[in-house]
Amino acid sequence: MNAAMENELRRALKEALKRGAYEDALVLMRRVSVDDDLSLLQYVADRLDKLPKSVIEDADNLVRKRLAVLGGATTEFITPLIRLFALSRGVWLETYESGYGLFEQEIRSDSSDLRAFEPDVIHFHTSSHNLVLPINAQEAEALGHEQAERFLGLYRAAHEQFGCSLIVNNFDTFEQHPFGNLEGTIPHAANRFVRRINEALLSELPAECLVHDIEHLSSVAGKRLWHDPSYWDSAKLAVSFPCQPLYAHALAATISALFGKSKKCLVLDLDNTLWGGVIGDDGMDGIVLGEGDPQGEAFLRFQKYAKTLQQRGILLAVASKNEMANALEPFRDHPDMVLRESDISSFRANWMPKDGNIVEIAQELNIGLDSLVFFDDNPAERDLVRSGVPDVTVVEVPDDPAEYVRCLDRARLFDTVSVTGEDAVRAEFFQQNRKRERLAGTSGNYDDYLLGLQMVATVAPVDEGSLARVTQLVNKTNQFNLRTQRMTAAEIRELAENEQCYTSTIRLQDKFGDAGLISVVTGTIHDGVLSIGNWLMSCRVLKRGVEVVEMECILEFCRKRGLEAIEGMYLPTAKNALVSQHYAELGFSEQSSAGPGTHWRLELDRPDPELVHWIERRRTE
Amino acid sequence: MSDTRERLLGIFQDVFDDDEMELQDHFTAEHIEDWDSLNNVKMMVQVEMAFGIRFKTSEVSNLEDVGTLIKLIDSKRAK
Repeated sequence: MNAAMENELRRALKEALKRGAYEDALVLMRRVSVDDDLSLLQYVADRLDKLPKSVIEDADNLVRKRLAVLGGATTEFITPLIRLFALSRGVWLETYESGYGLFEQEIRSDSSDLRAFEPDVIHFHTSSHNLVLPINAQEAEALGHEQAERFLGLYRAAHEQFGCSLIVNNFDTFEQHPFGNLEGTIPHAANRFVRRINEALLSELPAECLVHDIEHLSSVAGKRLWHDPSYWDSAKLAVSFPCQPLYAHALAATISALFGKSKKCLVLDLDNTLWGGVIGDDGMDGIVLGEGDPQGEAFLRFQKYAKTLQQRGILLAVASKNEMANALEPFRDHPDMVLRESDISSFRANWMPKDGNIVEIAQELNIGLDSLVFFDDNPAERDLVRSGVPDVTVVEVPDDPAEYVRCLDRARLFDTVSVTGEDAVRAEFFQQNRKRERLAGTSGNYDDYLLGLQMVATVAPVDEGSLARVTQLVNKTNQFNLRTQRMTAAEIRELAENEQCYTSTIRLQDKFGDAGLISVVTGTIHDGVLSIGNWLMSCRVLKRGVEVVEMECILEFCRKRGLEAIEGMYLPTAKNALVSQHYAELGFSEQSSAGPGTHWRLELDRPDPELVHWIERRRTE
Repeated sequence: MSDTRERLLGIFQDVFDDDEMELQDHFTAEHIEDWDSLNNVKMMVQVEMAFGIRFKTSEVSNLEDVGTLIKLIDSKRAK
């Protein structure tokens, strides 16, 4: 935003709050970005609590979570900004703050206030100010070990006591270097010491800890700007005011990823976005791309960045105003293209408005509009998409292609809490989908098609090997999800280890490829009844019969345990109407009950319902 | 520097969230509800950003009253 837009936002927000138009105020508050002026950000952040609870509860696409910020420094300035940026990503945070310097005491004394708060996530707002630094070479080794253990032990204890996710800072190296050029080599020089502790933490952190990389953030900002000695002295501020938005924005990206708000797909324009010039006019020889030309190198760098995203599991799509044949030509035949046709999971090149094309891309990839990011050099197209499909995140693309990578990277849209094996092969799966569609076109009926896919399901309970992927699915699946009950890795592990609980996962392969782990069911046995907690499935494998295989496995489990009945519940959300009749289709009867959602029960004192599927089942225990 | 007082009033109104607030030279933390150490830092940072100046640590923590603050801002703006 420029200064005039910022003033207008401030004025409009003030006015909306004054006349009690809280829905409007919420929309305005969600509009801020990390690059906005700090005084505007503080102004908006300080007014979050003017929104009545009911407005937050009724808002679409907003999850509510509880964040505890435990301070190695003062937390009062940074916390409102964390809340603000989390809100702009669809996460409303209730917060708990410890006083300055109390981060260890809160955990070690097992603070009853913190317990009563029941955090979903704890952030330790610490920095190298909280480290004890060595005075001489003799003590450096032992002190390094001791300090690393101090923090590791704290995080382990926090996890044991609260069982929630933890986001911990690494330590930021200092601007000053009293040892001069030896600062990085002498063991008791502060900066060398900090680096060693960072390494030690990384190699031993519990799996539930996510690392907020403030060493990187402070380098990006510049150490001179990041550290403010005056405000450390007077207000115990670990991060200078100008750098607080950077910190809060990055932390909010991690928090929102933790709660399933990650973006899944980058939708790209072509002309002047992936290459310079217009392919339809300039032709293959005329477009600017590749080494040897300054602009060509900029576009090349942007393609490489997109390719890196793709390789870590972000889908790429194309929405371009072009003839399809022209648009495809560079992907197939241009020697300098980094992105190839097979990297693009959904390709739209036509003369229809882009907002419509983007809706179709979301449908084709079976993902929500709110998980799309649109990148287009043309401001008119960006405006159209912003107003036509407001759920899509539209990046404000800079004029100079040399800045494209920096701009997309700074937006921190694709943070995830882990990278799983499934991420790496996701794009491949959509590629295979085109072959599946061709098979569907040649098959007589749907059953023939399913049979022809030669599907194999590998069924297994949740274990350490699958925990990261299961957590990812539980926290981001929206459509085929009966209760949309998000859980942390720690909570899922507890289920998996409990004898009175049921967990099941399915990996699906067919003759075209491997879809990876795509289905999760969990349940708890209570008084002879298996009560199903989570039942969810990746939308890539809808209508293939996977849920029927899951049902078979559930029934086998219940028979083995001699259970009387199975109960399940459907809790409607904005996105899961798809499965409203899931239990009915599997032979359950609806129970009358009060409250939200529908309740279903299947008695086991009679033969199993008839279940048909075309999947070969393999079981591992 | 005739606009210092007016701009400072805007900052006070925003930080203390009171559009009706008035500023008089003799005002101290005693006169303004919520003028605690936290809001003091918040207000001083807003002043620094708005006027493009920087306070010394002692100036942030040992502020006497509004009149002194205005003089302090003006002296720094003049530099």
